[in-house]
Amino acid sequence: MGKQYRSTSVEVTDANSKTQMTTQGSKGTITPIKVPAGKKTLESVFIAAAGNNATLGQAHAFIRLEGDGLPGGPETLAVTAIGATKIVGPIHHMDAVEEPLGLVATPGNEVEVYGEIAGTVDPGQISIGVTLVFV
Amino acid sequence: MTRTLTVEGEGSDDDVVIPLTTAGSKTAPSRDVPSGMTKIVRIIAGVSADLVAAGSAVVFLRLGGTGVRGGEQTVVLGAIGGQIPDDDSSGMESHLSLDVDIDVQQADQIDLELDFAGDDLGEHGGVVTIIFA
Repeated sequence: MGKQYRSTSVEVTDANSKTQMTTQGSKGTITPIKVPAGKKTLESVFIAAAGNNATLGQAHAFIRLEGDGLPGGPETLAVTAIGATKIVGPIHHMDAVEEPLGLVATPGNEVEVYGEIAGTVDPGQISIGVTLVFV
Repeated sequence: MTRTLTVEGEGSDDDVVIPLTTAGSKTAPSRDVPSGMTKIVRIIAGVSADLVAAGSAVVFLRLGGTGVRGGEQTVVLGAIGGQIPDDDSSGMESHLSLDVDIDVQQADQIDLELDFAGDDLGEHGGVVTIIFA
């Protein structure tokens, strides 16, 4: 039986501000991500993030996984760190990477995904994308 | 034994899907699941934007159609961002590979589309290869 993939993203603009991921591009606001029927493990995540470099400085992005779909409790995962000395250029870019997790998941229950950024100064905006891989 | 399907596409509006139906000189490659194939086991891709507009965006790949069993699957391929480059700025390149396990239906068609979610970054697009097994 194949795996199930659920994705969402967010644009985070304030440092140290936990922001829930509820949209998926052209689909706008999506229904809350629930653990698919018959799936009992959040096996891994695909993650990617990039900033718009609107201010100078450095910042780091991470995600939080919460909700009753994860009976073991909330988890936090680092995504990336960015920095720049010049606002105009460079282009920030990150290809998605897969990180294995192996978290117990409860079918039918919700997994809440949050993005957050932190750093020495507000970095402008960082877009963070996540795919949850259920098995 | 494996088989591949490669498609590409481009667009210019954020939050508007880009159907992936062409492959350069091959205007409409078949997107039917090849005979004997039961899964998609790997996604290879490259995505990019020209940053003529400042901002940041996440890039999704959606796999749908009757060729995908178990419903539409969406995966993150990457993220791009920045300010409008000046004369001294660098460009970007992208290549990623992700192992997946997506059940497919032989002979049925798979629909692939990119969705750049977030800010308008100017011209953007990508190329995707899916590997069947």
